[in-house]
Amino acid sequence: MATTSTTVGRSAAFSKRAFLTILGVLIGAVLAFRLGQTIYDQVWGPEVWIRNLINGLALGAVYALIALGYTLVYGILFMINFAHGEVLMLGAMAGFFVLDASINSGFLDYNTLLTIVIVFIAGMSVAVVVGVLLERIAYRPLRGAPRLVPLISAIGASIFLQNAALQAFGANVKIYPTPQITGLSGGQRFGDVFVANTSIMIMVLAIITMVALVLLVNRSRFGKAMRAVAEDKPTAQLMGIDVNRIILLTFALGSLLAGMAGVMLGFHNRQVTHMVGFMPGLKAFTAAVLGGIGNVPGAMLGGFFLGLAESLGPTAFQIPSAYKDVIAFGLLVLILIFRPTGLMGERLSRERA
Amino acid sequence: MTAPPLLEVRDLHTYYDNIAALRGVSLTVSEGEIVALIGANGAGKSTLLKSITGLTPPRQGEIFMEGRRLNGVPAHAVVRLGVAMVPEGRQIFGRLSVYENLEMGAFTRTDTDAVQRSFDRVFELFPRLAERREQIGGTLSGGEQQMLAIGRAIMAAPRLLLLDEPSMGLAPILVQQIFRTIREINREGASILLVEQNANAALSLANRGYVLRVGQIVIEDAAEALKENKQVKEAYLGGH
Repeated sequence: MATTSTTVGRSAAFSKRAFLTILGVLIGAVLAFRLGQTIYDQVWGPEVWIRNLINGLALGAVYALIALGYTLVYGILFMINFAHGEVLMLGAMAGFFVLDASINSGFLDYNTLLTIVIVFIAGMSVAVVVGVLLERIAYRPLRGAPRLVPLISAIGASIFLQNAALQAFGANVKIYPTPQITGLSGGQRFGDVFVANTSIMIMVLAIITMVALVLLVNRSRFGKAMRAVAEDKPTAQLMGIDVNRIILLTFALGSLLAGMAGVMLGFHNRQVTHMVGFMPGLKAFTAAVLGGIGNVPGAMLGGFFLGLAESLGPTAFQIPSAYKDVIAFGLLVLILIFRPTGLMGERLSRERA
Repeated sequence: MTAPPLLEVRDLHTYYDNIAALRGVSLTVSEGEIVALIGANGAGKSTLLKSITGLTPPRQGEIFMEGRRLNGVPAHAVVRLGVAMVPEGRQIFGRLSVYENLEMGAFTRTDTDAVQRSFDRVFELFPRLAERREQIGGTLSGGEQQMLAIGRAIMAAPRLLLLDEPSMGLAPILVQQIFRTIREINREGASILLVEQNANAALSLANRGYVLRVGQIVIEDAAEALKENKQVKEAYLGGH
């Protein structure tokens, strides 16, 4: 009897692998066929491809910035900060109010660049304060509780912040008057391809920020302490590292990136509401999981991958772009089926919880 | 009157939830001493070290380091008071490089020249670590990881070094090398509290020793005398 059951177990495992392989080949074949068709029929001119490529990169850069916040916090606490999107939203809100004030006072007309810088600083500062308060109030008291508990607390914090923003700022759409801002309005023409200035700003700023972040994590004293805490908290304490302080700073860092992303989206989409953090938050979470959550380069890769898939997917496979969310989350499911730990994830079993 | 001991533990009681792991432990480590703490599995040896470093704070009793009370000092502040620990199972940072692991050991130190001298000393004691300074900690062999754990503790320039089972899982030749290094570190001025199951080796190295049994000190004596003690011989030295 024992022999029979092991044989059954083995063949079940085999057929699952075989099934996945066949499924993978089929999906790959369908997509490749459709892509080939699109290219062969020359459905789109090169300018469409390039335009969507650039849109995808800009979108991906924003996803990557947000995803980094998820992944940094997960790396250190093994917890998904589901209120991260709301941190972004409050950053975008703060940016809006500062921008609005500078327009009304006439400050913008004389100091355009300075205004943009101040709007970013305001959005990032508010995001950092919100992120730090979240950690102190909603997460730290639950340290040591089962992992589900802070997760529920995070969802609660997310709903609370959304509704608090609704009550405080109203449901009306707040307009980022990007067209009024010299330098951010309009765009650049490269041959047949028109690129919005906000897209260029997002890509340049995001890439500089990500390079700085990688250097911070890999080279700085804080970055090394953060990695030590992520790996082994008691031993990090023996080294003299104040674990609570590092966790708080990690939240601050992730929130700073979210605030930056929030202001970027504000300028790019030209509007903010209390719901503006929800979808980008969810997408960036997807991106972090795609890349392998807890992994910094993975979050960046996942962000760009998702941005490009959303933007180029409808083009490549001739689907209406209204299906871009279907593509994003379909991709998540597919990648998790074939690589459960994400594109750059380590084996989760090695992870200490 | 003699000077107060470097480390003094008075009537320590430590619990895990409601289970007593230490039940009234008192011991001292004087300046320049090597003190061995031996005992069976589960006797409370590691718990005592964790109580001293603040990782598992005691429920009752007092701990003094150079006359300063350690009770209530958070674990991350204890190393600043001159206490470094080589934890059980080495616990090196597996995803940090050898060099970064050592940097973490010196995390609280700000005098860069002195830290550099500590680096030089560690690489002198363990040339193997110098060869592998850029290698990721997790890829080192068990012996190399133990060297790294000890090197990392030296980087804190401790006045008191706590070692938890440094010989565990190592080949005899490596154990010898590690123990020689411990003596070396001691000669350079650090006092040592050594927790070991390998009682023979520990007592050969130590000046004094304590025997811990189910959370209590049952014997305390000079290391030489402990080696000859009938009870100790039967329970911890031979028998197999």
